[in-house]
Amino acid sequence: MSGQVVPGIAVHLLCGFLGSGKTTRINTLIRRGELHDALFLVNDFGSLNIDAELIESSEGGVLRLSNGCACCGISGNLSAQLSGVRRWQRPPRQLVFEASGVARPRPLMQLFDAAGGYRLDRVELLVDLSALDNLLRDASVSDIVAAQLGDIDDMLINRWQAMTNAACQEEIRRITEWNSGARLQWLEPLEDSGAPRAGATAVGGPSFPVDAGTELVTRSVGLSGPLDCERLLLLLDAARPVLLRAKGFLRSRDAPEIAQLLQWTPGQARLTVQQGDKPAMLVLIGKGERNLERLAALIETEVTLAGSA
Amino acid sequence: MAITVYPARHIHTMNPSQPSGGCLAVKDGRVLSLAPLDEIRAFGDVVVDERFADKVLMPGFVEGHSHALEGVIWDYLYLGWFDKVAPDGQQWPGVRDAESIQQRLAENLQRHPSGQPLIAWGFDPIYFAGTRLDKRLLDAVSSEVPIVVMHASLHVMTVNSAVIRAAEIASKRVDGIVRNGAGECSGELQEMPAMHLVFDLYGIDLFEEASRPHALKQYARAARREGITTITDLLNPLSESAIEAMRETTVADDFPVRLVPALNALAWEPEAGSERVRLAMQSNHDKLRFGIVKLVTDGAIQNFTARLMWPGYLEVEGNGVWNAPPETFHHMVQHYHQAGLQLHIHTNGDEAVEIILDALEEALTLWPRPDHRHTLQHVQLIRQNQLYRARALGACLNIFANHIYYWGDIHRTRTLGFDRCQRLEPTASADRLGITFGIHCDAPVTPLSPLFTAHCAHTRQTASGDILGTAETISRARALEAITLGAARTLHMDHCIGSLEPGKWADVAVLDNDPLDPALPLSAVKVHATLLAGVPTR
Repeated sequence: MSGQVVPGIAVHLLCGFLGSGKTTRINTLIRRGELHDALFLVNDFGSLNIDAELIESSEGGVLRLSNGCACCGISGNLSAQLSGVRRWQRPPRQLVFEASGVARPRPLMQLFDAAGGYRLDRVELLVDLSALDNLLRDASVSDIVAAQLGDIDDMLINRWQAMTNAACQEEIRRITEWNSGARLQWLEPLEDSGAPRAGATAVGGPSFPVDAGTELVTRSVGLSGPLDCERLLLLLDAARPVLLRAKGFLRSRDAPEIAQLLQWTPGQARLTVQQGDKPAMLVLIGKGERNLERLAALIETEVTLAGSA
Repeated sequence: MAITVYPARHIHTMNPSQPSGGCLAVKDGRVLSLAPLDEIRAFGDVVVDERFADKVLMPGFVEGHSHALEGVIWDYLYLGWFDKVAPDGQQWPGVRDAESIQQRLAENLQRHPSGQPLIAWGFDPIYFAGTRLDKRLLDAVSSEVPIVVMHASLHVMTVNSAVIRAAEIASKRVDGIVRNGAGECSGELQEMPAMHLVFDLYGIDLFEEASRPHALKQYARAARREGITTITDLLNPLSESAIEAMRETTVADDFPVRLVPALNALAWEPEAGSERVRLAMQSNHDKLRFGIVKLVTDGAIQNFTARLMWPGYLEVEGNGVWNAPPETFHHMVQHYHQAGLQLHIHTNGDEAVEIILDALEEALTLWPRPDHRHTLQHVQLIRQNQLYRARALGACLNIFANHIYYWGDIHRTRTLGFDRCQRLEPTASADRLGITFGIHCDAPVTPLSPLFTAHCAHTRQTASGDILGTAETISRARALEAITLGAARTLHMDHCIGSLEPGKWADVAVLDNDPLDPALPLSAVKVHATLLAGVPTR
């Protein structure tokens, strides 16, 4: 190698499927002051959600990775980034690597273990417990999720609060089936308001099994009067496995004189005040005719009746 | 401005109203007329240029899926199985046994600068049954000079003992370091974690080099030689330096092709990505056209990394890889669709096709958009029902016809089996359904040569001479359309290229032979020259 004697940049590898809370975990580590002189390398493809000011205060920087997922790509990019960073005039002491949601951890762990100038210091897997069942049943990603569970022992469990105890226990049983040496740490509710919300089903709330139809359908729901916005958003979130988008105009019970535009996508909801009179109506786009019928009926009965009560 | 007229033995225009002609009249870089000379004179004074009088003219070829990496890779020593031609025109015969590989390396070593590793590329182990390229074979060439042989897939390399020592490979614990029963390194390094040790040691970064003017000039030179007048770079970082290099290089009068780079979407946060394309589009000129976006979903069939639906791979358990979570692809498709940009989406396996058809359906339900022409790239295993969906969604296809020749035998015997090879690259089915499609080479994965690509789609002949699926062959005329107008349509550029008709740019492939002559294989048709905007290129 270069012949330099360097202690090596300590690598903190964070894995986990999309929306499992990796970015929030980084922010938490920053806020707790656990990272010093750290560089953040992000191999994800959504919007970057790290608080820039916090990162600035820890004198680090953020690099993005291209050319696809780092664990499997020919990835000149990751290789070149690692080569470049360790040759900086003043390399960082720590590297926090946020892996892509589809990254298989083992190759990455081996990379950081073997690469000159780096040492693997810590590996964590973030698990969105409420989404695990769906992910393991999704043929397009189940093999990857299983590999993540099998490769990493230190698991940080997220989004379990809204689940029943029995449901939690069932998911934990499945995790230990994949990895009998798993060490679990239960995280507090996610704090970042901008972070994607999981499609967790509220206790006692409705569920929308994904196998109740997969065809793409659009359905309109007339809104008879002011409604309970909070309840509406809970219902839409609960329908996340089947609902792709909801948009429309509504009036809330709290401010019935104002028309608002609702734009909901999985993990995000935005209400914008509108000028003038607008038709009170929601358009739902999702999978499965029966699913959307059911959601529409719930909105009509629970939300609008609650709103006018 | 004078009118230049090029008489020719024959002109195939690809214009259905006027499919052939005998003279090409050019004015202001555009096609003015293909009428008989007397009719052309009605437009004014003409200068008749007889230099192509015995040649056959066609619209310049459009390569809708290849990479500027082709312009870099020839800086290294070629060790592939198939004969190839370098951008400078040098013929490189394929090397087909261990002795030939050693001989070529040894010859090159004699004029190799000391202190530098000897880097070679193109070796494809899938054609070397029984012989494994390992460190002993390379050590016999030299155990002192570092030798690195990149395999054709770019996912594997073989190195000699000098490299193993220098990179301290023996002491590392990485799955991709192949060892024998006694734990000794064989010299083969698989996948990035193992190969990084070598990249890092010698500072190898092919992708960075591909964005430099030298690579772009080499790339254009290679394209021109094959009759190409419009070429893509279908995965470009669109960094500031890359944009500047493309702008500076293409604006030169002697740059012989039009270049269409696609943003690598996975390298950008979506909002920033679409903003970057818009910014780059401000640099557009006649020979440089930004505006398309590339999304890479899965891997490659021959590497067992494409995402397949049941029954999966023939020889290997398990499925391929995603480059990002499927949900991310949905978000990206929605974003770039809504942003009004055109997507080109790498989908090799049928599961990848399915995910993207779902994403397109969602995007089009939310934001209907006529004539979007989002294009599914490769689609090697697209199913018949998926073709119907693609048609219903208004999607275009760019089909990887060259795979039939280069890996068809392997697909039949090792990756896919008989049935799926009858359908592999289903150009005829796409044609029967009236789907807009092009065909491509994905250089440097397979060589740049649209005529050879057309030959593959027309004959469906593998390297061993087998024919895979006669029901999916297309006629010469349709194959030629796919490398001109079809590809132009997938790039949303058929208003200015792809056929020779009045008003379009006079981009021309000049051929020694008639590609519609059934006595001559399409692969044997020779390219004599090209014209860009009516001017012979150099």
